[in-house]
Amino acid sequence: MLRIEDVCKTFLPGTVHERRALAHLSLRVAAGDFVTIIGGNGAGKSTLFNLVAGVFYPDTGRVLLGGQDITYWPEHRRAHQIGRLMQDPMAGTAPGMTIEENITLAMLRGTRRVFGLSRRERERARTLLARLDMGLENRLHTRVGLLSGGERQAVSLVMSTVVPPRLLLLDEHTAALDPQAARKVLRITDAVVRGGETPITTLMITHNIATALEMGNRTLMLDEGEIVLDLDAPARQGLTVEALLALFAERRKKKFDVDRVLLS
Amino acid sequence: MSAREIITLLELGLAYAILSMGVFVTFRVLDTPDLTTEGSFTLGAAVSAALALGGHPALGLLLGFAAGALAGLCTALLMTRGRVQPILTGILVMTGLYSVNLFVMGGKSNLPLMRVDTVFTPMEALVPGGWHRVALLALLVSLLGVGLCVFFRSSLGLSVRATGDNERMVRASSISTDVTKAVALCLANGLCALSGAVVAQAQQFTDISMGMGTVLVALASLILGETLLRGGGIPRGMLSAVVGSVLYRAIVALVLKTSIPAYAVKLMTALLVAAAVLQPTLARALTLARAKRKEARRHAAH
Repeated sequence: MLRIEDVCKTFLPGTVHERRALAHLSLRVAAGDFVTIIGGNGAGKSTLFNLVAGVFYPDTGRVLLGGQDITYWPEHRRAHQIGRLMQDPMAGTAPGMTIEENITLAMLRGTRRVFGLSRRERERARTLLARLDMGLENRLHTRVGLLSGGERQAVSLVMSTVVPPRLLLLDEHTAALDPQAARKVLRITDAVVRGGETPITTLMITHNIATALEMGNRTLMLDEGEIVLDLDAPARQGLTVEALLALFAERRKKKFDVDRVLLS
Repeated sequence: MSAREIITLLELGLAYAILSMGVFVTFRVLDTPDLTTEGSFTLGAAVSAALALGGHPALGLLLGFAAGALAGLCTALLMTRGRVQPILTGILVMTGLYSVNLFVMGGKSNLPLMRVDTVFTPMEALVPGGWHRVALLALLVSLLGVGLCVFFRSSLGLSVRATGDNERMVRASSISTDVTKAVALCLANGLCALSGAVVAQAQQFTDISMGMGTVLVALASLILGETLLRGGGIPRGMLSAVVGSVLYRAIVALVLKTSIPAYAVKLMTALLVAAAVLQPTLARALTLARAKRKEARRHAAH
């Protein structure tokens, strides 16, 4: 589904602040895969997402989605196919508009239709919201700005999957939430990604190693712009956080930067 | 107040309500201060007057709107593709439009429309008692209000609203914000020009400087309306534009009846808008001062 071929990205080249964010990174993700990504600060996780989403373009290399070369497509052009959730719960929704208006906007995206939702679509939106188990289906006319961070993130998740994207990018989307809300949003994430007829191909950056090993079916560990560890489902089976860190230390001849990473 | 005066203030209020609707689209929906308004208002008036003089008053309104939309497109291109600051963009286009407007008016700084047929002329036979302009304007304003409410529920309209609300989200959701901004600015300036076009034919007079200060007039009207009306969203904005605009004209009419000189109206308008903009800051400062005083008193008692 997603193919990244030998991608390099250097920020501020030729200056004293030059920083190599991605170094000859290649990656293949099969359709329906749920890949979790971990790595320390500056490992290149977000840069990778930004290249896939088209926020900026790579210096060299290609990005292919479903066999199509999208390396230089502008952000809004590929957004038809790529859903993205940010860390900031404020990023994915329009606060001044109601829940229904936000969902309508997401449902009409990609269709050629000009006007609002049919009764069937409205029912579907209600069902999707009801599945979040937050009572949002009864608050369709509430402005999204009045919701809590967790609720907003849940609405964002529904919005970016209501028309199933080919690829879903989750960029530490629970990091700004309190632990309870984070757990709930993760549970919802799992249900939404696997809830459709076919599972949505998903990449998820997380700072929680235990979550990374629990969720999805494959885990990548990035360091200094390279993929250090690529663990498929059998390889992850029974792997503890300590074992993973030991594996990292062995490969990179250094200890993993645990400053910002949660171990449990 | 005489019936004649009430009719005049309703005429002005309704004609300028369209301007407030345009300003609502930029200042409120798109959350972008657009000064093009002052130029496009006069542009609409000039086009409308020129065509009325040529015997096509209705076409004058239509082309007035179109000319304004074109001016909005210039603003949009400078703002999005050229990445020029909104304020500077507005000043650029407004200044350029001054020459364009004089050109449309054939180099004259005013165009009287006395004894010229306007869109209001055929209405005279239908509505008696000098209310014919008010009737037609009320019809036009309601149609525009309902039309805008419907538009802002369409997928394009929702995208425009979301652009003003959370631009980052819109860009990440397959919609080009350049397009949505262009749509909003074309629509808004089209409305402002239409307002000018209607004013020109209602007053039977067009002047090159009639756009001066119109942004503040429209904004003051809108703020007046918004303080009176509860709720939210687009319908409230539309109603605020109409109610506020009529109320503004009523206040101006009352002020002019006192011994306050007419030239004080602009200062009053500016003060009204300044007060509305400063209100949250003043309220916060007041609360803080009160809390400090209370705490100091409690401290002294101990």
